[in-house]
Amino acid sequence: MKKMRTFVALTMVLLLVFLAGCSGGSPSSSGSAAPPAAGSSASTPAAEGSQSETQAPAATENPMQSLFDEVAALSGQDAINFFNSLADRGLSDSEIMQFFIDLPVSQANEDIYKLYVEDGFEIYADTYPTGTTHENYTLTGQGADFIGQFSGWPMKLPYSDYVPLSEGPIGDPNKEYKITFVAAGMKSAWSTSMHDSIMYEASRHSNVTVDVQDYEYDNNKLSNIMDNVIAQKVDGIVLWPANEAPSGPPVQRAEEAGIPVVTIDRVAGYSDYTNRCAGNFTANGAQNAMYLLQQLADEGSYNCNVVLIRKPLGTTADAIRIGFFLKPLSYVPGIRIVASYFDTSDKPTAFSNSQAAIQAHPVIDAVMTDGDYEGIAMLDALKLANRLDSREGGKRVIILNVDDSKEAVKYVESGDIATNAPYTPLMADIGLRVLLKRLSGGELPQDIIFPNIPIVTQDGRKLFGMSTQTPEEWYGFTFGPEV
Amino acid sequence: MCVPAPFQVRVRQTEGIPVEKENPAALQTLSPASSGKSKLQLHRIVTSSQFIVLCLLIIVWIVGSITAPAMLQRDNLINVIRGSAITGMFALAATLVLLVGEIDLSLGSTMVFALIIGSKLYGVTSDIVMIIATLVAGALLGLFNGIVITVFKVKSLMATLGTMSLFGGLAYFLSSGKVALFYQAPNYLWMGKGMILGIPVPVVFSVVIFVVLFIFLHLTKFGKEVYFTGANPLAAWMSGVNIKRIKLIIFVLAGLFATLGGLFQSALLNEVGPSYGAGGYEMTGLSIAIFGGTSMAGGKGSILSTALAAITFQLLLNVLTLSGLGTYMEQVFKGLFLIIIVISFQNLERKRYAKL
Amino acid sequence: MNNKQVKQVLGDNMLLIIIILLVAMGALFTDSFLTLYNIKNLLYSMTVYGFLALGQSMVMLVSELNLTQGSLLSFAPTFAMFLTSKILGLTGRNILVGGNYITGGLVLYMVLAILVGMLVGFLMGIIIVKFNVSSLVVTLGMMYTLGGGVFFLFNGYSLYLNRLEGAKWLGTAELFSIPVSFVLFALVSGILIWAMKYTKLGRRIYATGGNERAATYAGINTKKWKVIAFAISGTLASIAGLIYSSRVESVDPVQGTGYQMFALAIAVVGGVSMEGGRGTLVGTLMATAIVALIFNVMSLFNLFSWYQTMFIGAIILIAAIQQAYNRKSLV
Repeated sequence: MKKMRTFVALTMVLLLVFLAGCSGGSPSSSGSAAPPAAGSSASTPAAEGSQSETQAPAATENPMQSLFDEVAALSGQDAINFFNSLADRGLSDSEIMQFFIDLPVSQANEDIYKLYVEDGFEIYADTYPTGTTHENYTLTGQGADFIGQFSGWPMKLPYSDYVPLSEGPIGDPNKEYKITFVAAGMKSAWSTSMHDSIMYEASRHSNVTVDVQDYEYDNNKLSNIMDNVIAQKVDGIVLWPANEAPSGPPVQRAEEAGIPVVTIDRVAGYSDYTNRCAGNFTANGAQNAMYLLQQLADEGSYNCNVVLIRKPLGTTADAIRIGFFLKPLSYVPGIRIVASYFDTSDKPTAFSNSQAAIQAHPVIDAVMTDGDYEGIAMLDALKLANRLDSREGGKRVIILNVDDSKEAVKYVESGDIATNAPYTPLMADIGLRVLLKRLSGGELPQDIIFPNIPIVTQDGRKLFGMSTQTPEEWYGFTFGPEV
Repeated sequence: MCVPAPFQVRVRQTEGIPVEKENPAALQTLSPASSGKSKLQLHRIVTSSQFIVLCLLIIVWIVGSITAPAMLQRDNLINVIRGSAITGMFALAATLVLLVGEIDLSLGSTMVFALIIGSKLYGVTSDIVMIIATLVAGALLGLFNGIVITVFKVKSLMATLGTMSLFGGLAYFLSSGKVALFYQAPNYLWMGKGMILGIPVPVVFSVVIFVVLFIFLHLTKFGKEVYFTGANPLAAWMSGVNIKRIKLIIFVLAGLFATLGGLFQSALLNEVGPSYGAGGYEMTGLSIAIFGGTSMAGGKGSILSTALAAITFQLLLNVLTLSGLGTYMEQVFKGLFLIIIVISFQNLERKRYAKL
Repeated sequence: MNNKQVKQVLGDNMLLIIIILLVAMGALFTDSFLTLYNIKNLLYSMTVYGFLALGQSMVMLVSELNLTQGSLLSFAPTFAMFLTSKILGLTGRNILVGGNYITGGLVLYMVLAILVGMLVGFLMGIIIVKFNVSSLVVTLGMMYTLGGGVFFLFNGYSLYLNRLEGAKWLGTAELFSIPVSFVLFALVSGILIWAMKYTKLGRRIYATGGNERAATYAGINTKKWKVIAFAISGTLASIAGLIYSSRVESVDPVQGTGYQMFALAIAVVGGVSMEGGRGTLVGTLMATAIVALIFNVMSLFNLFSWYQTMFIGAIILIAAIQQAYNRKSLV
């Protein structure tokens, strides 16, 4: 017995000592099984199930290619000067944003380049739908006001005039159209608001009923629920796919049974189906990078420690945002990504990750996050540790945030959080309208791209010539409970 | 219940005393003729669970301060001790339940359902009333568990598995899946974020509760009955211990403490949502209790070692996170440590009713 | 028939009655329940839960617990695919294309997955019997380890199997309109039920679980049979993982999270007792049907998922109370 205990104590000591040598060993730098890098990415137009068929912009020459070629050789301050010159070259706000989104990664900042390649961000970037909005739609600031059915919160749809559909019965007025909305449950304010938006749209059409199914982030359950829905012979399905690959076969089965499927926000792994509505992740990442670069340029120094508080590894939401965040940063040496922490899309883990990050890294200049709750968790942790203004010279830590909950946007207003790049959940109504248009015999392109929403900053400052929004301008469209 | 004197069984405190059959060698060296008594004392101390956990704590501390010096920062230690107060509440609940030979898998769901019930009073009454209502709800839910187990005689694993689902679903139902924010409840938030004389509030509360429970379990008749119930239910019943009452009280306390732990956590985060019950709190609490030497068969365990185990576990997790391994490697290590630790510290007696 | 006899009949056939009630509910109140397509759905959804529940039952019958089953659902296929790609890579063949797509090695992958599951189960069993420790904590620790480790194999990516010839056969093929996966499930459960009833395996396992000490004194190598039970449960979990992956044509690091609780719940509702030695696999099968029916019927009713959770909790409590009734104990 005693021998056993000594043995165990020794093992523990050995293991903990092994930790010392193992520091910095996150999945990205262990690299042994990292998939082949950018070279063999999915631009091979292969047979069924390929993701690349919708990559129209990549096939033809990107109109900004000359700009990319010019900046490719630049680094550091030269690159920043180039970015500053964009407005003078006559680019509009949305073009400047698009420039930063499509910007190829640079090798100027070696560590960031290595991180970008080893973690395979390129692959996700290639498969995500990109392009221009349908009929060149831009945000008009109009929006329908209503009270959310599930949440009871008052809200305003930012996209109610995108792919417009007038009120009243659709298609055959004598027919009852049964639609099912399949999503992963109302576990957060974000998803509850998403449900509210689709129910609002349904309420505008008297011969349309929308039923809600919840697959609880369980892909086996998704498969079973889709089969149940197919058995009910509904007229159409709107789907929010939590994970891309496993949602492919159920969508295929539905399509083959003659039921049109429209996905919103994330994409499913079967690309030969009716419609995909997606967009904003790329703008979330790129705009936050723009803010950081602009801020550092104004401060006069590019020495910056960045901590990443991320959603689970392998989710599209994380991969696209962080990937597109890293690309502009790769042009400026001096910016260091010191750590990545992953949570399970929940606030308690994000909070303990934030606390650990603060303790492990005495100098943190900026924090990039994948979700509103992560930014708020980091804010709370910084306040609790009295580190909110711990940058050199007493400057505030730059918290870069996405997902426009009322809570988060209020923090931007008060200056506690630096930015919020909206990713509004109030877009499921677009999915329903697209589906209903199809059912009424309309023709639409496969990808309906959400317009890129300008990032929210406290003072609406310009980032490399691009205007941003103030909290007041966007607050009406935010989601979630009042603080 | 009154039992005639000849039938009263004296309860012997079982923890801390070496089990002779495990260690025949030690027995041989303990001849009464020599200075056996002090050697026996020393042997008792050294093999007691408290001492072992303390040693482990010291080892983790030493190794941690070498591999992750950031661990020693004052703010970090405050985080660690606050975190261990939260998990310690769950571990305490698990310990109490294990002591009477039962198990409670529903602690996470009980906690979240009680918190949601309390959150309904947000804005309606003062936040102090909210706190009290939450705790009362937690105690009542624990009572429900206790009734199902004692009155309906359901095995605790099954019963708490059922209530885990039931309470979890009810939490969603009552909150309609929505997260509740608590920005305007300063007293509530103080429970998690506040400090008393530089010590985090959760720690102060936990220490008080642990001390009170220590007194209860070791110095009162109630405590002795608790140990007896777990050690040998049949004998306890025959000697007049009211098993039903003991178990009911224990489950009420378990629900109460789990809810308190959850309250600290939600106060730190300014919110509570129905998905918070799924964070594996009850499993963590169970692991810590076992790590602290609590026997799964019942009747053996110590409040002090549970407390030390909670601190050690939290410190271990902290060292793992600070050493920069990355979230997923941490999880791998957490699992491996759990296995290694339980191999060495698990009670080797494996008989009796609640075999697991 | 007097009151007591009615209660007795109800009690003995409780599971069957619940099944009948659920079927009636579905048939009467929805028009899609009795369609062939829906019945096939039911059978599909029974297979994954069923394999896990069978495995859990085997372990519970020797009075242990196995919490690794959920994480094996993702770990076994992922690790098997990892090994397959490495092994085939040695021969110069690269089956991992475009970062995410698997293009070869199907048979090797399936065989390895089953081996991995068997080995993990075996390892669990050995640790538990050799060190005489709580299976709950050891399998919990292994669950964390596997759950974290799986992210290292492919950097958290999901792997697409839709370019792999024959990958979707196991999960979606049908034999005279009956899903092949269900046929497999029926076959495996049939074999196990027969083995538990008529062979040494069954007798030893029931003896080990029923009264371990008495069994040891009777000369039975209880340790060996516990390890066998764990190995079986690991194998069944990996088969379930293969079916899952085949049906969704992908291998995810997060598939099956939380499924060990389902397996446990199904086993206890089916009458397998925590103390060991009591309960039958037939009961487990019926409980699997009940859970699959609950999910199916309730989603046909378009009820939110939390009603399903509450309902399952209620069913567990009802089954538990009924079993307690049958088993008179003093304390």
